[in-house]
Amino acid sequence: MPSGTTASVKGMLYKSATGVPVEGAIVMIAGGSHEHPDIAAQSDEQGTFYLPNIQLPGTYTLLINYSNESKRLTVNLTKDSVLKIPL
Amino acid sequence: MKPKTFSETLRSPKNGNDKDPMVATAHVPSLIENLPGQSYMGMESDTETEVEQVEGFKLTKPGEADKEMYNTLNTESESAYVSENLLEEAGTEVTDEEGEGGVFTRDAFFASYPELYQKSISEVIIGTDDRVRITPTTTFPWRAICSLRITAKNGSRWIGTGWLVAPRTVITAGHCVYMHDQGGWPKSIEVIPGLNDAARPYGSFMGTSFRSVAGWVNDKKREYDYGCIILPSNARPGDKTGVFGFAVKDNPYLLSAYLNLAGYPGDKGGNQQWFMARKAKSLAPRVIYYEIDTMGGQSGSPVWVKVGNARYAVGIHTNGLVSGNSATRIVQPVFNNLQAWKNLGM
Repeated sequence: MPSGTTASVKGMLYKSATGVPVEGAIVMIAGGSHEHPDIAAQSDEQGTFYLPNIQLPGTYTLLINYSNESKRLTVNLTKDSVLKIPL
Repeated sequence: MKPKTFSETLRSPKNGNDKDPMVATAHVPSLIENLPGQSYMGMESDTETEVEQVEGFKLTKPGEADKEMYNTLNTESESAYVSENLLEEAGTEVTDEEGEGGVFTRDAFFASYPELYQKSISEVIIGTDDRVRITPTTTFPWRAICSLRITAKNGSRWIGTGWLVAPRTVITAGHCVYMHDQGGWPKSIEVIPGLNDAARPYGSFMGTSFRSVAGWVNDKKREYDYGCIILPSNARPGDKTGVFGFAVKDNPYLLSAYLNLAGYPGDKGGNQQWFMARKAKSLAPRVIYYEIDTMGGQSGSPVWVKVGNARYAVGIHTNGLVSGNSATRIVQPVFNNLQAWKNLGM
C-alpha cells in the first residue's frame, strides 16, 4: 500500500445543459486502487457530495445513480481534489 | 443437516490487538440461505454452516481500542448490562403471526475535467454480479436488516445498512455512526427495517443515540470500524422483525462456512435489499475478506452464518476493494460490545 493520507473529497453534480445542481443523486465508489468505505453519499440541494475516508492519492471509479440513469467515471484524486461533474 | 455440536472455548479477554482472537471452536452444519436465482451446487462446505485532553488531540491507550464511545445517553432508557462470557448470542425469529406483517452504462468521459479520466479498472463487483434481490422483505432474516438514511453533523446525507440485535439496537459500521470529516456523530439516522422500494413494512425510526469504540472514533482504524444505533425507548422494531444472533468463530470455521450478506446497495437505488453468499477468501485477526459483491450503501450489512434456523452474524461489512470486500470481524472484544449494546436496546 503506497504511503498517503486518508481524507474526504468534496464534489458537486450539475446538469450539463443548464448548470443546475443535481440533488438526490447517489454517489458511490465502485472500485479503485485502495480499500474504501462501502457507504453511499447523496448529493444535497447544491449538488454537493463527499467521498469519505479514502486513501489519497488514489484512483477510484465512481458510480453516480440519478433519475433512473447512471454514470460511471474514473478519477485520479489527491487531497486537494474537488470534483465538478456534469450529468 | 447435522446436529449442532458447538464446543466453546473461553479465554481471558485481550486487548484489541490480539493475534489469536478468542474463538469458539465449532463443527457445525452450515447452510446457505435458500434463494431463487442462486445455485451453490457442487460447492461443498466443510463447516456446513448455512449461508444466511489537549483539545483536538486524542490518543487511545493500548488495550482501549474497543473502549465504548458514544454521543449521548439521554435519548434512550438504558439499563445496566451483565457481561456474560458467551461467545454466541442467540437471535430470535418472530413468527409471521407475531410479526407485522439498472442497468448501468459507461458514459463518455468529460474531457473538460482533466482530473477525470476513463480507465477500466476492477470494481467492487468481483467478476460477474451475483447478487440476488430480496423481495418481499417481510420474512426473517430479511426484515431484521435495515436501510439507514444518515444525516451527518454537517448536513451531508448518506446511505448505509444496519441490522437488529435487540428490539432497539441496530448494529452497523463505525463509519455510519461516526464520520470523522463530516462533524463526527451524525445529527440523526433514520432506520427502516425491511425497506422494499416504497414499502416500509415495519415503519421507520429516527435514531440519535450512537455508539462506537475508541479504535474507530479516536484512531480511525479499519479493524475497529463498528458501532450501533440505540433507538428511542418507544421504538422497538425488533419486537416485530426478530433479531440476529452474533458469534465469535475461529479461523477454520470461518474459512469453511458460507457467509451470507444482504444490504441496501446504492447502485440499485438504495431502496432494495440485495443478497449474496460465498465462502471467505481470507482472514485477518480482526477482518474477514470475501468475494461477495457489494456496493456503496451496504456498509454495516450483517455477514452471517446460518446454522439450522439460527443466524449468527460473524462480521459487519464495511469496505470494498477489488482484491476482496471485507467486514469487521466479530472477535471477543467486538462481541462484548455488541452484547452490551444489545442489552441497552432491550
